[in-house]
Formats: sequence, structure tokens, C-alpha cells
Amino acid sequence: MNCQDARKLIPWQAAGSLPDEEGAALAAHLAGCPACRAELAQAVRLVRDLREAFGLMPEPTTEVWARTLARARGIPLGSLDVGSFLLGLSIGLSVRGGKVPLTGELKLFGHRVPLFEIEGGAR
Amino acid sequence: MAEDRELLARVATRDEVAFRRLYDRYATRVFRYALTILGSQHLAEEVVQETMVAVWEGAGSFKGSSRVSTWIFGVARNQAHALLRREARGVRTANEPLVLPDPAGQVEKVERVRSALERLPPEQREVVFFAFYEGLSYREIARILGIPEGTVKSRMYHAKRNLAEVLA
Repeated sequence: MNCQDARKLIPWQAAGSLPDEEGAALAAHLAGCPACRAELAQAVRLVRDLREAFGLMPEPTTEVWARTLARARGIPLGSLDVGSFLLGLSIGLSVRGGKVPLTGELKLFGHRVPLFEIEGGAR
Repeated sequence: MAEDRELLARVATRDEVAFRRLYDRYATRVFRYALTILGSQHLAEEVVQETMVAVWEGAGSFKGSSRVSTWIFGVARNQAHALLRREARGVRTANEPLVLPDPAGQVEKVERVRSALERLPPEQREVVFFAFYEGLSYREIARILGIPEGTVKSRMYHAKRNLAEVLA
């Protein structure tokens, strides 16, 4: 392995994801190459700094989950609910991903348990 | 991870509790990936939403030949690059700076890293993110991005050189 080949592998070694076989070949090269050892030390610092920087990036706002769930459930066209909070049955029709699925859910103590879903045709 | 596969199988049966748990495991990671290449919190949130809706709708089609994370980041990548193309066409403009808050008071260091990252082209930035933050191998990254392993190594080689120059 020459220095050019080694330097393509060094970032992956620094990140800890280099496959064993290539790691062994790189280690053999590093044993006799102070310049590439210095390159590896620099790459390790770089990985540490970037990992820290990525870890300090913000998180999505809480509204994203609400919007995601609403999109996943689809746009409700109508539903029929029978029973009570303790035990009930809900049948709904919605628009989701260009389809109009008919869904049935059992409502048990406020929790929804999916019973069936029949995919409707495209809009 | 086995837990991811179990959650995804439950999502395929329209289990919203499992969907929420899968969302909690991936939303921040997908958001940070999208923010890294798009540089806009608004667009990054759009990527999270579109990715997770695609996961909800496509969970039943997951073949299990890759890790769940590889599949989800592959979906996120497609969503993020679609937005990049849309931005390039001028449909919407994202000019927000890449936000790296600094609760620990290391303003200068974080700013230098932020600045160095922003100078990289998006295709190098995403390789750096996947390799250094997600800890993925070049093989996994090649699979997510749909490019040869040699191209991933090449992008990383150039990214590392560029970053080292700026951060030296």
C-alpha cells in the first residue's frame, strides 16, 4: 500500500468503520510511515470535532410529529362511530397518498386498535 | 437493529404507537442529515415529515435485505435531493445559515466547524455526516446514496482534505 491509497482509507479508520482486512493493510503501512500516522492523528481530531458539531445541531420542532401523523392518517372524508369511550367501533373514509382507504378501528379505553383497512382506488 | 425491524413490522400493520417510537428514533437523525445538506431548518423538517410518511406508507414493502436505518436514510436522501433540485430551480430559496447552537460556550470552535462544513459541496457533506456522525461504513453509504463505493471513498478523500485545510 502506498501513501495515496492509505490516505483514502485513513478517514474511515478514524471513524472506526474500516473493514478488518483493509484495516490490517493500513496498519502495516502506518507502522513504517510517520507522515500517514500524522494524517491519521489529524483525521481522528477531525472526526471528534465534527461529531461534536453534528451533535449540537438542533432537533425538529414538536409540530413535525403532529403534521407527520396527520399526513399518515390522511385527510378524513367522514367516519361513523358507535359505542362509548370504554368500547366502541369506528369506521372511517379518508384520502391518503392518492387512495381512498376504508378503515375500521376498535376503540378500547381510549386506545385505537386497527381492525381492517381496505384500499380504495386512486383519486 | 432487531428493534428497528420489529417496530417497522408493527408500522406495516398501522400501529401508531410503533410509528411514534420509530419516529423518535429517527426524526432528529434525519433532520440533522437534511439540515447538513440543505442548510434550512424549514426544509429539513419537510424532509423529516415526507420521509416518515413514506416509511408509514412503505413499511410493508421493506424487504429486509438491508438495515432499517439504511432504508430510512435512503428515503430521506431521495426526499432531500428532490428538495435540492427544487431549490436549484428557484421554486423556493433556502438562505438560512446552518444552525449549530452552542450550549457549551465553545462558540469559536463550533463556528469554525460550521463554516468548514458549509464550504463543502452537498455531496461531500452528506458523506461526512453519514461516516462521522452515523458511523456508517463506505459500503453502507454507497448503498444509501446509490453510488459506487469508490465514489464514496473519493468524496470522503476530498472532503477530508478540504476540512483539514479550513480547520488547520
